[in-house]
Amino acid sequence: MAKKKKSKQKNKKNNKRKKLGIKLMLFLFILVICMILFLPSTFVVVIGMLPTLVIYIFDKSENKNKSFTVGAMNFSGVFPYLIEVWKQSGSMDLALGYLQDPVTIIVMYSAAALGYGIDWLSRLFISSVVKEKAKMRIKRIQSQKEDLIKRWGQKVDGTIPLDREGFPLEKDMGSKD
Amino acid sequence: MEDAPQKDQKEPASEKKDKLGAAARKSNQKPEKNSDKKKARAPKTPQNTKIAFNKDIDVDFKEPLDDLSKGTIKAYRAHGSNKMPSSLVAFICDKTLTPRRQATIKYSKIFNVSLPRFVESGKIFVPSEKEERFCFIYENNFGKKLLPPDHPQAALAFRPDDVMSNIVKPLIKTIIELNNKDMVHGEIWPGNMFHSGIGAGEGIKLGDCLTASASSLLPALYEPVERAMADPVAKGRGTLADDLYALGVSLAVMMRTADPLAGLTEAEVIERKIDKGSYTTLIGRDRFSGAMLELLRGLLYDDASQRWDLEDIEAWLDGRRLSPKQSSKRIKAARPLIFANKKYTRPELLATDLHKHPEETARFVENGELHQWVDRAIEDKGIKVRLEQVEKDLALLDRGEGYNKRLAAFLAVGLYTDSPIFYDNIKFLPSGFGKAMTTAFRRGENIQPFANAMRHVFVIPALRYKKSGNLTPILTKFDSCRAFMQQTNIGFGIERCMYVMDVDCPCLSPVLDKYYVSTPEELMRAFEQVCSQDKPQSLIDRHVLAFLSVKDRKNVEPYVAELRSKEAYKNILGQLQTFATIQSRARLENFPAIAHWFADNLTVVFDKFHDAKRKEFLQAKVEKAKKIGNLSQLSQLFEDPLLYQSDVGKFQQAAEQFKKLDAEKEKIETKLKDKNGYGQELGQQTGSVVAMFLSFVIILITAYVTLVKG
Repeated sequence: MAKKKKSKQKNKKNNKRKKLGIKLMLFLFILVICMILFLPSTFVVVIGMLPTLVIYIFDKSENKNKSFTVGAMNFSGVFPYLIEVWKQSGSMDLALGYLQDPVTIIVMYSAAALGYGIDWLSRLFISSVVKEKAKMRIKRIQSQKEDLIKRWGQKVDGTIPLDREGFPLEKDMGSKD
Repeated sequence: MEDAPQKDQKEPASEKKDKLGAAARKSNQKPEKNSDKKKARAPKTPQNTKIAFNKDIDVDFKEPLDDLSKGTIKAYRAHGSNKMPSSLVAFICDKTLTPRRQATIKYSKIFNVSLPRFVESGKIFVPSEKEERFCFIYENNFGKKLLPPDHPQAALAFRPDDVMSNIVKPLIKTIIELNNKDMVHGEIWPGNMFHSGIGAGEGIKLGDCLTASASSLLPALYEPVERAMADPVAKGRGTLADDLYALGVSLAVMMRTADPLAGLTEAEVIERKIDKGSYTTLIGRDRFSGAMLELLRGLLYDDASQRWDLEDIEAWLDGRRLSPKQSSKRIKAARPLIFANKKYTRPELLATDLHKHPEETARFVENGELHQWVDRAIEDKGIKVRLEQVEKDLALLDRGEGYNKRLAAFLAVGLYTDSPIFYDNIKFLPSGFGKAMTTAFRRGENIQPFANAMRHVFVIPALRYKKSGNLTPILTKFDSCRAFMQQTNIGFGIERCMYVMDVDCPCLSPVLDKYYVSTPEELMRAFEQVCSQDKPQSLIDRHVLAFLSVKDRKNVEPYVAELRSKEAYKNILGQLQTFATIQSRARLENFPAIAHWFADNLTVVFDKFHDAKRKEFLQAKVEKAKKIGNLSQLSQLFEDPLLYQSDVGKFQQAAEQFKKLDAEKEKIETKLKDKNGYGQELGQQTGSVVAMFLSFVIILITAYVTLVKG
């Protein structure tokens, strides 16, 4: 029975993987079709979003926040050219024209750099705020502890062995001097 | 003292000897170590020697009345005002003797010209002693003393007719009146009789009889043989027969022309009384005739059952002549017994000497010499039967240390049932045991024999041999005291026995050594004075608790566990609750000095609270209550058991909170140590949100400009 159950579970996992694989394959297939269908836009996006790709590759953080920040800003730099290409019904010439224009590249990559700057600045600012807050909390904890000691005595800190009623145990009990 | 019962089995006799006496002395001397403190503990008093007894009576301690004084009981002139007689006399009781306070009410109801008129009684401060004493105040119309106190064995050579009219009739009437009030005088002898000074004994008046226990001040000559053998304070409650015997001896002394006992010691007089009988011993060569002879013979019968009673005397006063009974002769052995190099032919005399040689007594019993003597030389079945019973009962005796002394005491009662119990160096009649013990304690004497007498079983069967009176109450007391002696806790032990055995005994606590305290109410007032002048370590000691356990058991019992506790805070709260209960039960006035003492000593109670805020709150309440002196109010602050439970509970919560804060602090500090990592992720997330927002805005604007405007 147990073997049957295990085999059933394996089958289920395999089915899931198969389903995911199919979905991914389908997505990639549709993406490739779209990229082929909107080839000028694909050129603009791929070339324009290169900084994001590089950051994504080197960003080892779990949530990829830096990639997200740079990507968002990078896309805002790519978007005006992309919309122009769409306006011209996806003209390949226009797309290539933009990509050959250094201004376009500068705009796109500057936007990405801006994203990088936002990431750096926010990390710098927020971490110093958080650190200060933590220090404040430590101070508050210290003050709370002092209040507790003032009200309940030094024994409240748990460093002295206490009896059931909370009074220090006799030190001399059983000791031989 | 509390350890004495436990260590008794282990310690050698030499070490144990005088242990209780030493302890008693120690406890008595304790306050004397610091003379300043002793002074401070004395009751408050004005500096002059005229002390107000109450608003109507002043006692002048500058005017002693030596004629009326009785040894250590001093008499002083007192002055009355308002409705009180102006000329009064105050008898100041001896500190070591217990006055007859319970007899005072009965005495005050008697109106008899031959008794001094009782006016008042109570405590008074004695300037010369710097302490309180009990005092009796009488109208000062005593007259002249019939016989100086230092000549108890005298011969006054009064004419029988004068004695008959001036002394016999009024004194018999007085004894009848006393008997009607169910009391005995206990001190009838010429040394305590007064007369007008005109004629032989005219206007006869008996002196005071309340200042000490009955018979304790009566010379042995005036006592029947059995009572004369006992220690003066160990004679117990007297009987009418004893008063009548004392009257008989007094009459003999008044009428005889020569003293046949001059130069004899008390013991020799007793021996002669046993040998020849009281009448012959006292009268000597004098010869009386007619009515007086009958009266003297009737009153001086050694056998109390043969002695004249009031009916006989009334018949005699009415003129009926009663044929004198033949005096029942005491048993005499056919051959003497040699005991401790002395010859004995009378079992009574042997019985009185056995305790002096306990080892010899044991030898006599073991080799059967005593049995043989009683069997062969004494023709009295009663003694033989009793001795056989005693020999059987010897199995009841504890064979441990002091066996020979117990054996001697046991055997003496078997040989002479009416005698006092002779044990170690004490001689007591059953009802006099308590007073003898408390007197010995107050005099700083060795009380170990009393402790042993109560601890060992021998007294109870010994008392059963006695013929006289109803011994059930005293047997019950001995039984209870044996149980008390087994326990060493405060409230038990020999202290408890003292107050059980001597109900009139004042509190003997060393803290109250300058005060006369005989009720819980007086105890409170004495402590109020003590606390106003001094700061004693503790108010309730072994004596105070034993005293209260006997006098006010119901109010003390609930707090006994606290009072016995070794934890200081429980003990002090127990003391507070006890006093608060007495104060509210008796509806007593406020006691600010006691309240101050408690407030000062409650530190140990405050230390039991963890919460400083609660401590402050309670301290403020205590400060307020101590000024008023209401002990109940003070006690109520600490009565709620939840007070301590909630404090402990909240302390535990606080300790838990402290632990959590510590953990949180440690966690934060660990994070802070990672200088590059801390806050970075949050910064990046914030950056992402900002970038998304900016990007969204840019896209929107671009889309709008390009699609709508463009």
